[in-house]
Amino acid sequence: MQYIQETFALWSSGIHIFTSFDTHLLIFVGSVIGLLFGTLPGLSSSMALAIFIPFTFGFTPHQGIAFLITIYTTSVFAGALAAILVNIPGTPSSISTGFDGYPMAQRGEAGRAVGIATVASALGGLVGLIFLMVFSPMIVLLARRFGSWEYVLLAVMGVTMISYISKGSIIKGLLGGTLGLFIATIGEDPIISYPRFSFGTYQLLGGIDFVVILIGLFGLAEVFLQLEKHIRAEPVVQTVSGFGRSFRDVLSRPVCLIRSSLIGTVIGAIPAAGPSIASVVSYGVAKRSSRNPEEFGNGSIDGILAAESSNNASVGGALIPMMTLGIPGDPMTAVLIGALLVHGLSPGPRLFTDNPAYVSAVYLSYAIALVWVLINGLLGARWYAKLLSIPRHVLLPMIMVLCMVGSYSLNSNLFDVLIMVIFGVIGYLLQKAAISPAPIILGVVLGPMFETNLRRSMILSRGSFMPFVTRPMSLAILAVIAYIIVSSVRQARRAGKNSSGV
Amino acid sequence: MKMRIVARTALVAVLFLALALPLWASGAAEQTPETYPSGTVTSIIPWPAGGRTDLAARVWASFLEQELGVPVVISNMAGAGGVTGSNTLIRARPDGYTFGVLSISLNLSMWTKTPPFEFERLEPVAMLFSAPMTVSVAADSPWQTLDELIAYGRANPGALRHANSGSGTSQHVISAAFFQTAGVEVTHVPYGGDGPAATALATGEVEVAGAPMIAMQPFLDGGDVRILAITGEQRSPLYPDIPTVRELGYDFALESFDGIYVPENTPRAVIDRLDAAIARMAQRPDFIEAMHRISYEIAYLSTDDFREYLAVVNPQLEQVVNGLGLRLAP
Repeated sequence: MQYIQETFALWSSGIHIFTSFDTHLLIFVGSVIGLLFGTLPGLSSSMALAIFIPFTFGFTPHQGIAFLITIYTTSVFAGALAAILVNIPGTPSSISTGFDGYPMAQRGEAGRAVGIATVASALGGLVGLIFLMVFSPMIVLLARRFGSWEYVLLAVMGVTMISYISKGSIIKGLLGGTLGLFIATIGEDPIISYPRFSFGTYQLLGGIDFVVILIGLFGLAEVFLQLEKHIRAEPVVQTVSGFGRSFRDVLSRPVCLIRSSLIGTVIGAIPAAGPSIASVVSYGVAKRSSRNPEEFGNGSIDGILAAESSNNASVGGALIPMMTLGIPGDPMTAVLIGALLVHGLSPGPRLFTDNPAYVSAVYLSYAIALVWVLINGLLGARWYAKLLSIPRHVLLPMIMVLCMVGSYSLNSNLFDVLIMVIFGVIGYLLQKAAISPAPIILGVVLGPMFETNLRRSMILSRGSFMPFVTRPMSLAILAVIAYIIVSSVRQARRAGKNSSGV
Repeated sequence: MKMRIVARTALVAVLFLALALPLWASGAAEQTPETYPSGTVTSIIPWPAGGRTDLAARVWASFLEQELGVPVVISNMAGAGGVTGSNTLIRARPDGYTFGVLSISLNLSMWTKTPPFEFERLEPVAMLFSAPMTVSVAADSPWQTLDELIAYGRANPGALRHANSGSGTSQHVISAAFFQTAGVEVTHVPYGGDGPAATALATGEVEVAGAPMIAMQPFLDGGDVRILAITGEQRSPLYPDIPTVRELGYDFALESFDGIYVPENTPRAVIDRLDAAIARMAQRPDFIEAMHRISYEIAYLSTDDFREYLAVVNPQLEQVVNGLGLRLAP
């Protein structure tokens, strides 16, 4: 009982910060900034946070963190807008949102797709927040059991998702995944820093940034594909749908919503896993447990729901190790820790006792930011959908410029733009061969995670594979992977019997 | 109909301009050494936005702005362990309007990268920060002092697994050189950065970690780790209780440092003015306090002193890299 009282005291200790008008003004400005950085590919959440840290020097620490948390939350949501409207994931975490969001927009339901993404983001974020506020200690115990071995298996689990996120033939999906793994080997190897495939140039020494590949494979390739159609073709007529519809769409699927949010929270809390892996995994899980898996990839509501609720829930997840242990799980929380230090606060166990108002400010501003996501997405849906009624000969060059600026602004490097264009052409050719880009990106993301951790775990165990089965956490993940593989094979067999053929 | 087309074209033109503006604004006008600085100064950070160096840069840039009297803009050019941004600096116009903040890892890139980094094409302006490495163990480990750890390591070659932030990084090179001096054979385990290396120590994946103080801080607060010594020449003013390895009887001192550099052929008058502004900044108490908050130790050296320091430390580093067998570049 006393524990509950203490917890409530902690939560409410920062309420006074939110009675001033300034704080709300800052949160509003933060949500606009987050929207902008999240929507534009190449401008990332962590970049937005880093750039705006100096602006917080003039605020109180509480207002500063409220401002930054809002930018973080809104930018993760905003990635969905670009993915749905023009098929370029604004942030890597919204790749899976585009699988179904873009087909939906193409058949005239962009407004509905944005509405679903908005409500799913807000509710997913809410689940993440609840876990952050109530179950932090348990989640932290889980996250701390993640060592090199567990990361290897997490990457393997991600690879099993390839069959769910690739459209059509599984063989082609695996081909794409392998290509992605190959691309990931370019640059210095992660263990002894030996250059691979860099051809003696320093530009390739650091490897290829996967956001550059993302912009090329999705954005530019899509522009090329669209160019094949008649340039003066009439844009798709967009139907308008009300607020109520968005809520009904999401709330009528509570199982998918809660499952995806839980997956997002847990994967978000594991350092170095993050929202992209969270959204891919929950998309795959949603597809395999769906009664209509054939809808996925063709504008499934569950698809958007799974992707968006999990990537926003992972924000709450990522804040768990940051707040309780002071460990940054991803680039975004690393910047937030920096911001705390600048204001003379160090995150970790001491923050809760020394500065409870600050902890409360983080929770409350996260909640308010989610409200702004709702307002923004629901009121804006109609206007965002309007973007698609811009004539093709105006829209396509704009997207092309966006791809160029996005890939340049990442590292202020023209070489990246060149790489982006090359991947645009590759992406176009691969799409002609019916190889979808998503497995390639998954390979690029999971490749280094798999290689680095496998080689590191072999150094740690002096060449023994035993820890994979002797570590309890690792054994548990192994069991999950085995279950996924066995049940998919069964499912495929059953499907084969029913349709007798392919 | 015609009006609509005109309006639409105008709208598109405005959008394009808005997108192109950041690219255009980076070009600078013609300047002379006498009028320096008379316009925006760009500082290249060869690391991505949001990293430790980037965060520090955003803090000190706000102070340097006041001393120089012109805006200081941070430009992140990440890639290839700092080489991409530093190569851009080498090719920048040598007029003082573009300078870079480079860490010791660029010195090491002269020998550890292919193609090697042309460090000699940079002019040093001033040294700004130094950061000793720690020799840290888990709080529940049996080693209370550095001597105990070294004795165990000597008796069990390869048994101590040592977490660092990657082959050829300053964290790896400095720690490896220390253990070599102490006569201990450790198993190096590379992690992708200071944070993961410190976490690995706290979760018991390794026995020892070599990471700078700032990465160890949260674990020190949480009671997960114990810091046995630091590798600096002197004790850190931030942590006066932690002894140096030299005090404990090991003939070793090497720490990481960050310096400010401009491209070769920058006029000496410009370098002097920039150095003078940095010197004024380095003495301001509010600057020192702000940097201490993010665990940055100020170690200012003027242009001439920094040159002398580099002349001593670079051959030392080359020896260390050769001794560890890390040399890749011809």
